[in-house]
Amino acid sequence: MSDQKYYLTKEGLKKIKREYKKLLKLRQLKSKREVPPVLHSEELNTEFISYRDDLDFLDSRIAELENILKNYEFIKPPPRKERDKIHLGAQVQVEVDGQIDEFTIVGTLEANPSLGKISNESPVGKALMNRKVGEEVVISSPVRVIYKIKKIMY
Amino acid sequence: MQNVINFFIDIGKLKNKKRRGWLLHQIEKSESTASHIFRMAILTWMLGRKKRFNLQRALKMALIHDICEIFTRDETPYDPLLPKRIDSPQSQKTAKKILEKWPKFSLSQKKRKIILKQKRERLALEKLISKLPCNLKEEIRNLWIDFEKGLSREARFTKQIDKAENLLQGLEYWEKYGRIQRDLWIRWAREIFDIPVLIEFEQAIEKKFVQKKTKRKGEIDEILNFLIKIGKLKEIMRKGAILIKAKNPETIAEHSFRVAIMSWVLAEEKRTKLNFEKILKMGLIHDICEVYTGDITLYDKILPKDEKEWPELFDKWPRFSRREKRKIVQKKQKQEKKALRKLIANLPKDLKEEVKDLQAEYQELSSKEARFVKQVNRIETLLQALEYGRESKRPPYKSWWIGTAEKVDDPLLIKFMAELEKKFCKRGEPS
Repeated sequence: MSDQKYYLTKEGLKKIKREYKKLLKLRQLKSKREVPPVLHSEELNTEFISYRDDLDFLDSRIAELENILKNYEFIKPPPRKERDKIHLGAQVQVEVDGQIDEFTIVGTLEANPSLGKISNESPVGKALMNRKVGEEVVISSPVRVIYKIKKIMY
Repeated sequence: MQNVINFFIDIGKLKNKKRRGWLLHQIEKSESTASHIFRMAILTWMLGRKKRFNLQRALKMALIHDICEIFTRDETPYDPLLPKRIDSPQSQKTAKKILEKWPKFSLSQKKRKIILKQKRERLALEKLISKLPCNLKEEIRNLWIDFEKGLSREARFTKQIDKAENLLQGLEYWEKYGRIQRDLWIRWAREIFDIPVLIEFEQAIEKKFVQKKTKRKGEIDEILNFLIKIGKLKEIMRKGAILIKAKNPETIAEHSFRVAIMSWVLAEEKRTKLNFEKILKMGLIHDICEVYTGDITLYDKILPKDEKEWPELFDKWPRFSRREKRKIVQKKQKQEKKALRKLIANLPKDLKEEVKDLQAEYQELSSKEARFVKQVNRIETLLQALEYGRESKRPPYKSWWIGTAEKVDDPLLIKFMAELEKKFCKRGEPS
């Protein structure tokens, strides 16, 4: 597994820890259960497949969560003097094409653009980082779009 | 990367390639090759899950088995007997008569036909993959040869799945248009299936379409019912394409087919450890709820009645407050959950759980595979929009680019976007 850094908010970390605990418990329960026979006449037994699939699914997800928990970095509000700039965790109000939009800048694991949670690694997220209120961020590949920063909140 | 983009553009041509067999039977609005592959891949998964073989390999084989048709014609067993052109009333009458019987050939004729077909298709395949990275080129070539020659268990199974999907589609058209020789097709099917689960599937099809028995359904009957339901995705158009009045709007099945193939190829390029089987399945089923919900877009609620105002609206990415966004997402999720429950209600327990888990993972973006496929979905939509733009000689709406720049954060996919820009845009202006 790669040692990529994962940026998480307090809520994001809680969610991952909760899921991890739940999956470990489930894994324990599954392994205590009687293993269904592999074969059912000539064909593989569906119950065994289902059991195996469940375990594989659980194991790969547990491994993924462990990797995240080993490599995460907490998104903390920046020091007071830095709060006029956009950092991870900032709630940003922007004006785009004459319309107002609101984003929260998060790490890739919590990004959900439909809910306005923009990844700091996306072209828009990246361009907004470290910018201040009043600044205009131009994304021009290939269409020119101006994001005017109206508010930054932590 | 430009060669990979060209490959995806070529693959996309299967969305408009109508299957020749249905055209000969004068089926209106018949399926495309891409739609056939979409349902065939899902059938491979659902019937192949109990087999002791490499399902990932079988799924990939299903996805590429017909890609040669981009550069060569889709052949039917009737071709050597049919008139060269079927455009006059006389030639149509002759063709109709020929289609009434199953074409018979001697063994040597059959052998010669197969050799010539494989030769033509092999040339088409080499043309299609020649500029792909070596590892991919090798993989696709090996999968295709394996399928054509039926070397591995996966290949022999997938080959019969291909026929099974064809049979199901044929009988669906028979029910709708009546122009198919039902009994002839059933007879043909009984001759070719020899894998137990495929024989069982063929019997389930007979039970459904010939004997019209609906009581006492077994596992295979329920899989068949599920496949009939998702077959509707071959006809449901993507809303975005309809709204922008694309000349040849794609269906959800066609879009899902290219998402699956793009996810596979781009995941290979990414060289990060990803579960390919999961990626392929997710790509195939990410939109299945749309059987009942239809394609929901962000523009649905804000679309003015006056269509003249649409272009200006489509040029901008729709913006909503945080509260409105949450409301839109919650409503969509509720509709999709309800649709999924209805769709998978009677599937065998293991499949039901698997489809539900994969859908949840995709919606919640809770795994690296889900995040990747979701972003490939966005990139495929952008590529399709650029192709529509080129086709209509109009620049695509700016919102396609804006939405993608806010949604994609995978480094490889960001690079892919930049390459798309090089391919489709003149310096300084979208094209």
